[in-house]
Amino acid sequence: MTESDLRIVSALRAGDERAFARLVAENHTGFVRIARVWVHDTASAEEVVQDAWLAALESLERFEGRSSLRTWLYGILVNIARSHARARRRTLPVSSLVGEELDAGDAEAELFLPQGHHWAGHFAAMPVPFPTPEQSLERAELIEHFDAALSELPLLQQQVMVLFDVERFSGDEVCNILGISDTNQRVLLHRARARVRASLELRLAGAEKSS
Amino acid sequence: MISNEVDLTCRKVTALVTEYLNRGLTAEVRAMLEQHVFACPSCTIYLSQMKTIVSLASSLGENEQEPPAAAESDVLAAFRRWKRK
Repeated sequence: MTESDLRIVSALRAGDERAFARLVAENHTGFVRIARVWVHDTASAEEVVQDAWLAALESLERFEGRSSLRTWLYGILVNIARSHARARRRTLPVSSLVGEELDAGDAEAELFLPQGHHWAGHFAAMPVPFPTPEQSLERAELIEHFDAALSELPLLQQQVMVLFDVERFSGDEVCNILGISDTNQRVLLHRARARVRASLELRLAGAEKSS
Repeated sequence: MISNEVDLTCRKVTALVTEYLNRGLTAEVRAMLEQHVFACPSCTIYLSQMKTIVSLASSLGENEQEPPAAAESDVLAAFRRWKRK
């Protein structure tokens, strides 16, 4: 266990309410963002987050520090969020989602010239560069489009991308939190980024035309 | 457009981009990828789009919000109950 985790866990076990309030505040935004992947409104997400804190307190005595405290907390949160979603019959176990999302195939195939073509495997058309913040779109607007593209991803791809790219967990930590293999984590992250890229390109082309 | 004699196609480059940005490629593959991108305008744009996406994602993570007061007081009340156990 890292020294900082040890300090926090000891404070919580000793009943230090300020330490708990700080932990809740620090993780609130990330927690709600993760919960929102599985449930579709903020009120349900807040409910998931509260339940996750209760579950974390219940199991705090059993926390052994094999992963970081943050990874452990997010693992609990994801489980609670998934069971809320399951209760509303929105979703399947992670293992079925992995199969479903990987079997769906690679959405990028159509970007390239087909087998048999002299330039097979090369871009069929040049991608459209994203505008830089100096060009027409403000960064806030760009983030808004990005957020919308992210929220349209299949569940597990969205979850992997939020954990890895937004919350900045390592690949190992993402595997640990979601209980998926390293290979699947890599493929899901790549598919997620590729889909967001395609969706953002479309959205930005639309935004340029309407402005 | 680059020559077909180069080992990597755009398709392979795009498949490797995530690992490239995560610094997961061997030095040799990394060099091959960079060589292709250097000569290929389409892959240059693709790579730059992917870098933008990673940077947008991380800015999203920096946008922290406070928990709503009611939710915070509920979890703090739960903490007090837990403490008494």
